[in-house]
Formats: sequence, structure tokens, C-alpha cells
Amino acid sequence: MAPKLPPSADATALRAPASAFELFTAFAWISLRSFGGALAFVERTVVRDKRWLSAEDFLGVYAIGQVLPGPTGMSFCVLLGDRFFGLRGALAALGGFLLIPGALVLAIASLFQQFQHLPQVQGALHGMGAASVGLIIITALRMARTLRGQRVGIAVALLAFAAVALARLPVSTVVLTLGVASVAWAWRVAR
Amino acid sequence: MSGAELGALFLHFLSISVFATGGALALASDMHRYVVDEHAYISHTQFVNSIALAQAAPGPNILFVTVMGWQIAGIQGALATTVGLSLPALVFPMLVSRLGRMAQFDRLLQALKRGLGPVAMGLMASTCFLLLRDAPGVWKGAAISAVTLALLAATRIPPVLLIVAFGALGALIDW
Repeated sequence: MAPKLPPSADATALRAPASAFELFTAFAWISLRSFGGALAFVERTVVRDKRWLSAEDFLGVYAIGQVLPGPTGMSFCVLLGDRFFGLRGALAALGGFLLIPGALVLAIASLFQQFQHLPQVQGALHGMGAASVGLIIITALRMARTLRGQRVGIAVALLAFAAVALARLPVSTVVLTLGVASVAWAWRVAR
Repeated sequence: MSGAELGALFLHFLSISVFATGGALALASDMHRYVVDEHAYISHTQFVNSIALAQAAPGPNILFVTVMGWQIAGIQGALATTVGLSLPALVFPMLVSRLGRMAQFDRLLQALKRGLGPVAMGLMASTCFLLLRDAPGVWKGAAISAVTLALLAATRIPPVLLIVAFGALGALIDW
């Protein structure tokens, strides 16, 4: 599915954001409510509340965001903002997604730093860090489940792991060699 | 931090962002190599702290790069890492929108998704490996990681609640 789609069948129910500012506030609100995975909030706001995209278009735009270079959430903001207001809309959506939450997380970080001499604060950071590691591992395990039964995919994942974690190769080298080969293979088998 | 170092930091985050397939956390092992192992701008503990703080705070997890940059060089550092990571996400979608519907766009999309998915998986596993390998050998930390993992696998508790709860527990216990 390409971006800039023609209006879909249920276009009567869809609407465009009133202004780039509405994009900014909508994405700031999505971003502030999301602790970690923003996808569920993005879908609820963009499809159900605001009616900017149909459910089908949403999946299409999201899929494009996933495969484009750059983090998925940010790519999605830009694709959506650009669709309605060009560069101005893209910047508004991306700014909404990052600015206020970014300022907030820095405020929290500087608070922690100010009191870092306290053993309790050190302890809290240790506890949070350890819990984060558990969260990251479960995310990886869930990703791994999608590879079940895909022999080539499993081999590629193992090679990527060996190259980055064990051989300490830069990510760029791995994506440019293994990634390109893997995409070429998937292109050949895709019909 | 000198201007040249700041520029290099920006360029490094810019270049790895191009290779973000499936979340910025997959890139964490590469960021670690640059900011902890090679340049020693921050310690491993600070690195993990930036991930933990971003996950506990409202907002996308990706903001761990903002905290990381801030720990390296204040606001300038935060801008260098964050803008570096964001630029490809601004440029490529704009380009794709303007290229319009190319022939076999769907097939390319499928191929990119299916081909890059396993690479992202391998990168994510590398991040896990690194976080475990360099974790300070404290059994309490390992226990918290394991309990978090088990609770997330078995229940539908929101992850942020666990991070905040274990932060509170961490403040109370004697490490």
C-alpha cells in the first residue's frame, strides 16, 4: 500500500486534522499517555477518535513506517503529518511526539541526578534498570515468536546476533551485508 | 566536550538510525559500543539508567537516547543524539511519499519487512546479551529481571507499573 492513497470507501466518515497544531497536540497527548509501546494509543487516536485514517489505511501507513530507515514511531508521525500538511505537518506531528515528553524525561533525569548521592536513589535506579532488562528480554522473546517455522529467518537472526554481540561488528556493516542479502532473498520468494 | 566530539556523536546516531529496523532498542548494543566501550563518555550503569528512566517516564522509550545524550554533554548532547536519531525518520518518509506508487511497491514492502525482521531480532538479542553480560554481578538485580520477565509473560500488568514498583523496592532494600 503506498502513501498518498486515494480516499477509501468510507471516506465520508473520515476527516482531516484542522491544523498542524492539532497534529502537534494529538501526538503530544498520544506520546504522554504511552509508557513504552505507543502503537495502541496511536491507533485509538488516529483511527477511532480523530478519524484521520481508516483502519486499513492505518495498517498500510504503519507498515511503511516499520520498514523505512529510522525508528517506526517517528516515521509514522512524519508519514501522517506529511499527508495532511506537508513538511509543516510532519514537523508538527514529530515535535508533538518528542518535545514535551523529552523535556519531561530530562526533568526526571536531572531530579535523579541531583539526588544521586542518596543510597535510596541509587537503589531505585538499580531496581528500575533490572526491571527494564526483564522488559527488554520479554520484548525480544515476543519478536522471536514471529520467526517460528521460518528457517531462513532464524538463520539470519542467529547470524545477526553472532555478528553484533559476539564479533562486535557495527550494526551498519551487518545491515548492509546480511540485511541486504536477507531482503533480496525475501524479494525473490515474494510473489 | 569539544564541538568535534559533539559533531561525531551526532553523526554516529544519525548513521545508526538509518539502520533502525524494529525499534531503537535494537540499536542499543551499537550505541553502547560507541559511548561506553570506545569513548567512555558514560559508564555502563549510566547507560542502563537512561533506558530505565525513559521506560519509567511518560513518553516513547526512544527518549532513552535523549537522556543518554544529556548525560554525555547536557542539552547539547541531548539534541545531538535525539536530532541525529530523528533526521532519517523525517527524510525517508517524506521521500517515499513523493516517489509515489512505484511498480511492485507492495512486493518491496513485503520483502523489506520479511527480510529485515530477522535482522532486527538478532540486534534485539544482542542488546539483551549486552545488558546481561555487563550487568553488575548482583543476584538481587538478576532476581528482579527474572521476576519482571515472568510477570510480563504470565500476566497483563502494564510494564511501567513493574518498573516503578521495582524502583520503589530498590530504594528500600540494601544492595
